[in-house]
Amino acid sequence: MMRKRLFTLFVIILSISLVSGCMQKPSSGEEEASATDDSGVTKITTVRTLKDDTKFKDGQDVNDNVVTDWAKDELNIDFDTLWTVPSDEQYNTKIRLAMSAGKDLPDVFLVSDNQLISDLIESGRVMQIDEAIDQYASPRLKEIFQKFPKAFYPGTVDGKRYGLPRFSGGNGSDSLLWVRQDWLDKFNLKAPKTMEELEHVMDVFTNQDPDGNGKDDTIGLTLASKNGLATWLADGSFIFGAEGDYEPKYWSENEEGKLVYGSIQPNAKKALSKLHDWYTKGYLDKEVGILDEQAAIESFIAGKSGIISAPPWADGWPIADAEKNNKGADVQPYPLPSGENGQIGRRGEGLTTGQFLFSKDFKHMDKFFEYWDAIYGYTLGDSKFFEKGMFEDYDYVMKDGQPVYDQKVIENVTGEEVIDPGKYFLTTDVPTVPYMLYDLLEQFHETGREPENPYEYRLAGKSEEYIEAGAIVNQQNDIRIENDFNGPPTKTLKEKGELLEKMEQEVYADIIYGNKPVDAFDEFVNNWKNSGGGEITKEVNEWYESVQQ
Amino acid sequence: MALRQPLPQEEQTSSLNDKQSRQFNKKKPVHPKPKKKKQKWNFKRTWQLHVLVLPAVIVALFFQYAPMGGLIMAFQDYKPWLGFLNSPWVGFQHFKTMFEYDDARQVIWNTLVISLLKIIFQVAVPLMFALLLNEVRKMAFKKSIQTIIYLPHFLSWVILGGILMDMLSPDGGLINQMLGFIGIDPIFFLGDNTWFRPTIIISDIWKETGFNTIVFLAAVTAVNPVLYEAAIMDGANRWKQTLYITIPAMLPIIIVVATLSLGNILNAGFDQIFNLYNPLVYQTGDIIDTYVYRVGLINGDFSYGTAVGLFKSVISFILVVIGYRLAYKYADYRIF
Repeated sequence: MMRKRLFTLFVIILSISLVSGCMQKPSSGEEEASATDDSGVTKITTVRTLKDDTKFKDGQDVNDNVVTDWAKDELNIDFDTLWTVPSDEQYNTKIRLAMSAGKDLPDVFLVSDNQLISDLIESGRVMQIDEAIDQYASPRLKEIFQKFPKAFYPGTVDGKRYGLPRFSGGNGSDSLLWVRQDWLDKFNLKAPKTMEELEHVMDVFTNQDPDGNGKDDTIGLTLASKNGLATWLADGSFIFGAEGDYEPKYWSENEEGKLVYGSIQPNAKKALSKLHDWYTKGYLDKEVGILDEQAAIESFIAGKSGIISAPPWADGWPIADAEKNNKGADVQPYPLPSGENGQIGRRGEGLTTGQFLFSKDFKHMDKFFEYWDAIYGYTLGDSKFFEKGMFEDYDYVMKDGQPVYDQKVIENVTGEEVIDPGKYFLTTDVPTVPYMLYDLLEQFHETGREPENPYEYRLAGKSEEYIEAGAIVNQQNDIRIENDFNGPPTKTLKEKGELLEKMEQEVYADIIYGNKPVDAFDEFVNNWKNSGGGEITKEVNEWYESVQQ
Repeated sequence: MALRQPLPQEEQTSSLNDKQSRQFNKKKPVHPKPKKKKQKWNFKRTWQLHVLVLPAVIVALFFQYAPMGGLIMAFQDYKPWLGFLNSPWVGFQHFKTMFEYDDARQVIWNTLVISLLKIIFQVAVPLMFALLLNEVRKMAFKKSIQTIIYLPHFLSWVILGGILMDMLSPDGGLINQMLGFIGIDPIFFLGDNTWFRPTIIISDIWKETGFNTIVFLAAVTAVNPVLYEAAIMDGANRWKQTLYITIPAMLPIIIVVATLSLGNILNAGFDQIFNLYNPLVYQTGDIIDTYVYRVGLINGDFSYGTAVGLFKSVISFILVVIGYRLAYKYADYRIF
């Protein structure tokens, strides 16, 4: 009996809490906002993802932190983040729902899915921004915009611009070779400069027991191929680049200026036959065909693999883990090796990670560009707001009247972990200008240039390997192979894309594993063209012409 | 549990009958009126029950039936900003596209094979387990076995996918190491078309057998012990008892379980396949659900994805109906 009553009580409490939970209002910032409206403050609504790595100091949140305070005090802008979600997928879903439900869009918001960008533009509910850029963007912003016209392509329809690019590092996730220096030294080897030398090094790493444990358990190169061989970590794009100018899954210009699909080019066949050869000789993981980026790096972290191709930031992860896990492991960055005729190539990261779109009803583009210019001022090292750094006690502390950027010093002074306030910006990171970062690193590394502003001080404090890696990537900028198709999926691509992709992935895996002869590639190319690939190529080029106008 | 239900219900209705007939007897002592009257819906007396069931009905309407409106997409060229009302109609275009695909047949075939094998094994293996467990006399041992095989059910395929990748790795995975001891070359279980399906089936059995055993175990314990006593008197050993009493007694529940799973014949298990498959095994492992996922979500083609999903549902519906018919015919089982 007692039990029954307890249970009933429990059910009642549960349902009450459920109901009251549902009725709670999602946002509580509305009253404040309307109160401050009278004093000339412009309210700008937005929405964003809030990932785990964005941390706030005690009691602060996305609507109340140093950046929003600064915007309110200095620029008279009151940012109101209507909602946040922890992942991009959820974010896209929520935007999609808002769009189909006919709800008002936030004043400004970031969209990185090209299909969604094009859907939003087609829905006629986002603002065309050509005029606003002309009118309100500061000269230094306009200069950046003019320098990278391709960054606007995903948000351009019929020659009109709707999206404001969120710039990436440009070459920020371009990869270079990371090699186990201790293994090289053990066999008196030099870092490989050509593919031939690379094969020799891999052979030694695979067969001569570099870790000295008496077991045949090492491999030469860690690759991830589940999501395509040209990728952001454990990247195999240099193998394709050494054979020609195209990368798998990338649409790049050929000599005539037309876009062609990289996966079906002759250099892909050569690269695949090389990969098959390497696989048979044991240079690669046995499971290479089913490894995604995260799973692939296991062999490197475990100290079973001698080489990995990864961006400079890999210095922090996974390289650091590999050095920590394996006693005496020392991983050093090297330029990518060249192919038979001296050719080098790697996949180039895109210029943007998403586009900022604006609601058609948004009235304050002037204030937005004022903010945009102000936050870019920090990156460009020319700002009346961020002379010493972004925010005191966040990215710098004052010591004897001088700003100090050393993480350890900051932690000592503030008594808490260093928090990056750059994440609070609308750009969800310190804003970037393509190619600027690694260019600075190259200058630090090669010319010994001293940092001149807070942004540069912060970079100069990074690890030596990172700076060297950045310099190496920057020196090889001329070998980048970019994906020039960054528009929404075309009609045939939508219909047949999946079939073609499946075909491609199957034949690539089968050739590497030797389930099919290398010549199966020719058959695949024909199939690809006949099953809609030809049509897609036509459509992609039509798109390319339309955005270039 | 499913077996026990009929009993109290029968008791209830019969006692109700008694009461009613007794009432009648008071008024009209001669002949109790035939059954018709008791069928009347006495709302006053049962309104509490209806209130109790109301939330479930609302939830079902909201979450099961309202979303079905979205099926309209399958016949439209759906554009999110135009909504269901204004998107252009394309008729059966998406269904046509589906069958024009070179891969459609392969994907449907894979789905059928994998789920059929799963249904067969997911009835046979748990049944065997239940029968064997029933023979165990030590209660503690029986219970602990039951719990242990039951546990994997609670792990998600995301986690199991990672564990299986490690265990089945041709590069020093546990299973391949063991095979190595008896002189067998490493097998690439997850990257080989011949091995992928068995791997899927066996790992599914490993995960779900414990859970599915419960129903059968309940059925075994519900068999009337008098039958066994009589059989023993007739000189039947354990094997004969199982063969002539336990299995026939369980036949209805076996048929019910098999029938119910027919509706799932086109659900070969998205979670599992999605976490384990890869381009190397598309040929034998790609199923309708993973295919819809790639087309509908990755490529953002909602209309087409919905069309394939609808096709699947219609087939499943037909199979369920056939299944129930058969179950009624051969096992006298019906839900309505």
